[in-house]
Amino acid sequence: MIDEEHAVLESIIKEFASKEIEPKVKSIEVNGIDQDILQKLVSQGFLGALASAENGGANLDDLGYVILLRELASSSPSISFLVFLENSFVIKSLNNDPSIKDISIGNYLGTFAFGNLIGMKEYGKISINEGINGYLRAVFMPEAKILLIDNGKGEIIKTENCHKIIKNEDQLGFRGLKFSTVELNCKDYVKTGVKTSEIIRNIHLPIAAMAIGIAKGSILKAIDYAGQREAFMHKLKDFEPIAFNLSKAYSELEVLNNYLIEAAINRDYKKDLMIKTLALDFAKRASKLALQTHGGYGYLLDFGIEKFYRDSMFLSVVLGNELFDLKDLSKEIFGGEAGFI
Amino acid sequence: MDFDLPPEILEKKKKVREFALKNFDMEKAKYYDLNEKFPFEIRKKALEEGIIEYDPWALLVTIEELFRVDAGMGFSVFSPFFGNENIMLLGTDYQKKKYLEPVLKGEKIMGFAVTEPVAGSDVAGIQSRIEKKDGKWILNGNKMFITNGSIADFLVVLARNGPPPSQEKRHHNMTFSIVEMNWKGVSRNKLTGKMGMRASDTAEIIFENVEVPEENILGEVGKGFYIAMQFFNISRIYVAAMALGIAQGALDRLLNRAYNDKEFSSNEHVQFTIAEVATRIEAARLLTYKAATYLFQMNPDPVLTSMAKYYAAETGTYATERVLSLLGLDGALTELERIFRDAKINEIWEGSSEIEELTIYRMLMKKYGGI
Repeated sequence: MIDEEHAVLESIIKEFASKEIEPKVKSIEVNGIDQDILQKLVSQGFLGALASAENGGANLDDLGYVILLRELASSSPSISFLVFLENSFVIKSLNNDPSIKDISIGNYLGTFAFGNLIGMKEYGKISINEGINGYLRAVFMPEAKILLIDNGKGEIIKTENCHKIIKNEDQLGFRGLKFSTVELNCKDYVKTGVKTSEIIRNIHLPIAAMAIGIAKGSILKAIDYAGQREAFMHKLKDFEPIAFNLSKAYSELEVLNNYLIEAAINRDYKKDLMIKTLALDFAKRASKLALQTHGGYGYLLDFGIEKFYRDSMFLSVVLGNELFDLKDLSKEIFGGEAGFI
Repeated sequence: MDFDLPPEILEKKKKVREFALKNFDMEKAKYYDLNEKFPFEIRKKALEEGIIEYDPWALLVTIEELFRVDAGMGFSVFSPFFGNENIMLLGTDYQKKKYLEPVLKGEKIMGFAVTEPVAGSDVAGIQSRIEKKDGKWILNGNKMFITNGSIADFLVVLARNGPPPSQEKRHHNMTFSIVEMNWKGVSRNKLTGKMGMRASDTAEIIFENVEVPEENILGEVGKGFYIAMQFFNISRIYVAAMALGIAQGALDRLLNRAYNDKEFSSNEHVQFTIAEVATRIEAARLLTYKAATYLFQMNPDPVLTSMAKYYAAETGTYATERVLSLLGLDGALTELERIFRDAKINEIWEGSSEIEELTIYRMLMKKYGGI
């Protein structure tokens, strides 16, 4: 159970999602996140959810942040991921930089280059001397003014207005945020003093919240559809396999959500990893079940289900992959190195 | 029991693989997917090189190999013939000459129209009507998710020629007809915004008082449901082959990475995943080939057919999910993201997985004399 303060927050976010996001979910997928939505996110304090009040932020605690990401993801995973990007990566990386306020009040956006974070060979090549030159793949919201980069030594550096988009990437998920390769030509940069490892250590719980939001959006839509659509002269819900599978999925959703809340209230790294691992797996299964329940219509953008299927898969790979995650989890469960042979 | 394909089919498989690797450029595949365009150039090339043959085994391995490289482009090679078996098996000489021959020569494109906005898996629930008035057949109704709908020259259309005699006999009084798309009263809307198989053409078709000549009635009047079920025995085998191709294509990409990146493949989790996915694919292939063997001997076994389609389709989505999960963003930034999106449809079209499970159960019980 969540307390009254968080229950109020939850109802505000639900109302916002229903009024401001739901009518635009198709447009977000096709055209991206527009200025109108950005301004509304700013006016609610969501882009600066983790920033302090003096920096124009909402100063949410872990539980509030998790509720925010979950509820937004249940309507539009793209919007939720944008809020996650601006908060868990940009605001957290900027430390006490004055640009936190500009981002919180909507003057401009920041973004983070995931590519070289993941450390894959083909994710870009940059040289850092007096300036920074090169290119980076896998950058969301590439039109952002601020681009944060890992300098290859585990430290985050900030660049401003010195990158340009050179190619849009194939984009499986989070299509509301354009995903691109950018070229850097920066004369100077600033060390933020924040280590990449600190950022990464804190993203597991928010990822779990987004995954559970995706599962929630999927399952609730499927339950609604199964109660309306008829085949063989009965509602879909009247058929055992559909009723049983959706009921089991709903139960799993409730249990995982309760654990998510518990993990947000009593933060613990092992709990973060456990809920992330299970939530990502569940989001993929839940969205697959929801798409299957919708049949051919689920395959169409108009029905708002297919994005959950794509986004859940993308969420599970965009900031790591199963191999990294399971190694990390095993280390926590066994209290030391495990699963390395 | 011989598990090897005959030498000429193996040769065909090799030829098709070479064709697909040479002609299925991934940038072009991306273009067709992104813009939801049908790859006519690939169809033309395949016709020129004699890729499509009407030997059933040759067709099966052709589909598998085409989908192994790219589903969207692969589909464009053989989908223009979709539904031709109905005319081949039931058509009159006139229908074969006028409709089948140009399709087989690659001059015309056809499609098969059963699904409606309110009736997908529930074929007996269709509401389109074909009724005889003043000596003419008049067709009215809507068809949904029709493959080749906006590019076809004609469709083989299922409609009701009369009300069902009772709730239990809803599948009675259904009739197929061949309907040309340029006839008065036919309109079509291309469906856009599909998650996958975006290079394939899909449309909604509307029939408003379309006059269908008597000579275009296909098969026996009132027996359309049975004709559709007979066709599903054929088409489901080919859907299983599509899913197999997709699954194999995903595994190929994982094997390639494992082979070239020793650090990656040194992880036992990777090794075990490869073993598991490969095993599932082989099981799906054996099931599909067994079902195909019965079908091609003109003795289809609906249980095996449904098992093959159900399991191969599930294997396709499973394999793409497993491979992407291991390759991570590395995979998601390549054509694997498209393959992942394409795979899911095989669990839906030509009978959803739930319908296959129902068919398996009912037919098994029938064998045991229970139903």
